[in-house]
Amino acid sequence: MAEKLLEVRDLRVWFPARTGLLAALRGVKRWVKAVDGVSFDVKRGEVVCLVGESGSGKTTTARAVLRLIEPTGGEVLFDGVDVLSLPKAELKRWRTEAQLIFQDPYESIDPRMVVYDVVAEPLRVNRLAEGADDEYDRVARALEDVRLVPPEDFMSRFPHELSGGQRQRVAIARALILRPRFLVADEPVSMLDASIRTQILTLMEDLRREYGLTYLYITHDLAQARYTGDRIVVMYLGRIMEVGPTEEVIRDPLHPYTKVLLSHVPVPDPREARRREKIEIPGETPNPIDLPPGCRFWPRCPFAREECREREPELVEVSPGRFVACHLAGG
Amino acid sequence: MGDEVLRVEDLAVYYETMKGTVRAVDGVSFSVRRGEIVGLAGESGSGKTTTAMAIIRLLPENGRIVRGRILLGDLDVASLPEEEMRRVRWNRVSMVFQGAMNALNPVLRVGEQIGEVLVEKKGLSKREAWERVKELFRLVGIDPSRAWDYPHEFSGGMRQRAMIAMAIALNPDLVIADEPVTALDVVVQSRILDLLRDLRDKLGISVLMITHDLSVIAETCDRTAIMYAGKIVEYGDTEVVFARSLHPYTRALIAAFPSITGERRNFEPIRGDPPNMLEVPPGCPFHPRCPSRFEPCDRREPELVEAEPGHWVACHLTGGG
Amino acid sequence: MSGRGAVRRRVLVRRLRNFWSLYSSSRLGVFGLAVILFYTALAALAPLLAPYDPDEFVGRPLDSPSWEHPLGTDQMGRDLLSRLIVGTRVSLVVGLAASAMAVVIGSVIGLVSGYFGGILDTVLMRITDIFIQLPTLPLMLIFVAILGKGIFNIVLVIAILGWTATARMVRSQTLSLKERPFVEAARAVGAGDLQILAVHIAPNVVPLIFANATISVVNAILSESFLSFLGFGDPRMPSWGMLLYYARMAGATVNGFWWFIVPPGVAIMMLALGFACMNYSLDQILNPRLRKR
Repeated sequence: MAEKLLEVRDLRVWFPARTGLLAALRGVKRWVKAVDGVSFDVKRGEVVCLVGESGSGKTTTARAVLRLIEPTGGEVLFDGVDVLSLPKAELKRWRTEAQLIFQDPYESIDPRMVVYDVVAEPLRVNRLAEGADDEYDRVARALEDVRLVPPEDFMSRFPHELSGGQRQRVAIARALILRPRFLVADEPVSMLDASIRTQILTLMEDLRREYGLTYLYITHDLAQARYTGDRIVVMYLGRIMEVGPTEEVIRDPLHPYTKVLLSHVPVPDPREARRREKIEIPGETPNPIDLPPGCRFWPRCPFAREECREREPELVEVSPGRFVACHLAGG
Repeated sequence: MGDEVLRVEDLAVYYETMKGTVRAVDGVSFSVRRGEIVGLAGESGSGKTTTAMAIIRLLPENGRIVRGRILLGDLDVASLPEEEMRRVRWNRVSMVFQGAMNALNPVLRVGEQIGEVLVEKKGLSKREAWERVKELFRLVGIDPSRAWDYPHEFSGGMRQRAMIAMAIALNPDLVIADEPVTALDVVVQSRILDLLRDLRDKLGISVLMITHDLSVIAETCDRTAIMYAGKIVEYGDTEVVFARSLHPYTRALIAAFPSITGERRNFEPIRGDPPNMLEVPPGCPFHPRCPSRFEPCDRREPELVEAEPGHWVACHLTGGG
Repeated sequence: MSGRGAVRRRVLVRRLRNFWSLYSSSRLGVFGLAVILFYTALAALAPLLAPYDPDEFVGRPLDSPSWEHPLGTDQMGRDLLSRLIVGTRVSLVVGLAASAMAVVIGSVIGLVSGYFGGILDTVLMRITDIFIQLPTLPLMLIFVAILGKGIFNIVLVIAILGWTATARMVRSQTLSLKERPFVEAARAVGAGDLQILAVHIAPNVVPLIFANATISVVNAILSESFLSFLGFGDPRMPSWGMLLYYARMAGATVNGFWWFIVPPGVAIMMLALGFACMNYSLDQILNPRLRKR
């Protein structure tokens, strides 16, 4: 059995950009390069956090890995199988192994369905239950898995009769009922209250141990990534800037972008907050249309040099397990 | 001790709903001094936003102030007729909303919108208003030449800056900021918080910051009130509230926020769900979820008492009762 | 009994109870329902309630109301009250059947068009546009003239010319539903297009279809009456419209035979009103844009 469960190679997702009438008439085609050459891997049983601000391409990457969006190019290998070339029927079978947990539990659950049907749907779609009793038992077990006990109390409730935390538990139960090996979690707690966040994160960690799951965890919050991930992948404008073990990246970031980002993360400690120094950079994250040549971060980078504008740095391993895409860090 | 621009005394706001009366805010008292940033922190249903809406008197139709006083200087706005309140709003108390895109009119130029407020509420001439708009833009860190842009040409951070410019345009005594940085990117977020602090230092504005995010509180607020189920459970200097929290809820809430600094500790989740505001538990509203509850907690409600100078807490453990 | 069956029954009961508690709070809705139930009972029990055989000549022609014939008789001496009561059946059945057919056609076209989009959508919507532009009443007459006067043909004609509004509404609703995250969530667990349509899109559109159907019944009842009034009705089936047709033949307006005209007119109006009231309150409950929290 290979050590890597998921390998993403040079993944690209480009969307045609809406252009003006003149450009369209001249036949100029522009692209929004939401994800542009992203490579990383996830080992068995590992939690990898994909961190980035809006426009970084982290959510698009997650969807492309699951083929909910068709990538423009690249490879996604899941346990050695090339996911992007799977025909429809096999793709459907593969989807039982890799599941997605959505950001907003208010939106990702059909408001007209009761909890039982929400959780049973994956079984029905894939014809996996052997009769009504089997279906019932598996739904009950999935609800117990996410600590919605006793399950009978929840089965005939509508989503609007649940709290936000309970809804997200239902969404997790639905993902788990297929007994997947791999879960992509897209900001699963960002819509929840702080006290509920820790409950859900603890639950996800327990489930990972119980079922030997592997997670790809998408978040904009580095502090949250520190508490959930074994490794961190930092993205900016569709490219990976830095990859490394979580604690090392947090304590000793190598890429200027990671440094900037970390210096701005608010900390829940007033004394610490006053002590810290922020690294100022100009502007806000631009649109990923018509990107400049060279490093994507150079126009805002406080350390940019001549070569940064000319050549785009490759993601290279600078020390064991630590990858950086920056000319200054030896890239 | 500076003079108080806002003093809230025993405020109670109830909503009438189809399912019954929701006591969204029930006996809340606190104050904001001149040049101070005070945080009102809590989770959903804590009553923090209702408190803010009561102060600026923009409660939804089914909500009403049933008790208490809201003093802006000597003026009690809790009982002010709507007509007079209209003169107070923006002039003496203004608000920065969460979704800056929705708060700005998309078909009007940003500078115009702010200028209009100045012409209407302060009686400035168009030229004077324009000068003031440019000055405000400089204050909040936007190039004044962008005053002619439409809201959609602004980035998220600039829109929020423009909202702040509008909020301080009439030199109000108090600016209420309701989740001003939620949904903004990290770097933008930290700059907006810096801006609020700068404006406080430069202009001496007073801010009431409503947020669910304790990190935002820690970064900006001089004093903090932690709310739970319509009540203030702890209140004091931000540093004291964080370093020497007395209420179990405050402690649990702080522990629920991950930090990039310090040792990586394990989460200790708060059990249970936030209270259903239609059936608030008797006694201390936090007792069903409290790890240190004891005999009186489910029967008697603890009062907010001063545990040490300037540090208030409502908990039987600290003798509140 | 399996656990799943128990859950299903419990959910059904709750859904019905929720619906009823909302519906019963609307006075217009209750009124509409009462009217419709009254007519339904009348139609179901017609042979028992009608004092005479509606097709038999049981009295003198064109008799005015009397104890024997409370609503008088027509020009062939048939009892008008009996004909009115039995006519409920035709009007109600034609109304319901035609609108059901129209709503099914419209819903399928709307769902397919909205969900799959692309060329299919363009073609279907152009067809819909054409049907919307067509002058309905003259076309109805032409169709019936071609197809013949059978009651099934009348239903068919009303349905074929009456599905466009439903199609438009279902399509726009489908367009917005398919972008909702729960549809992507279904795709993520492996659901195909047909499963998504059947499990997520259709059930979310059904309430609106249902509300829409009630107004389409009104339309169908009025269309049937109109056709019959002009003499295009099925002669073997006395409907209210047909009563009016005979009234016209007898010169009821000129001769002042009010009992010949007013009762069927009121019957048509009341039934249409009943469905319109039901539609109004269903719309209040089911239409998300009008729903109050």
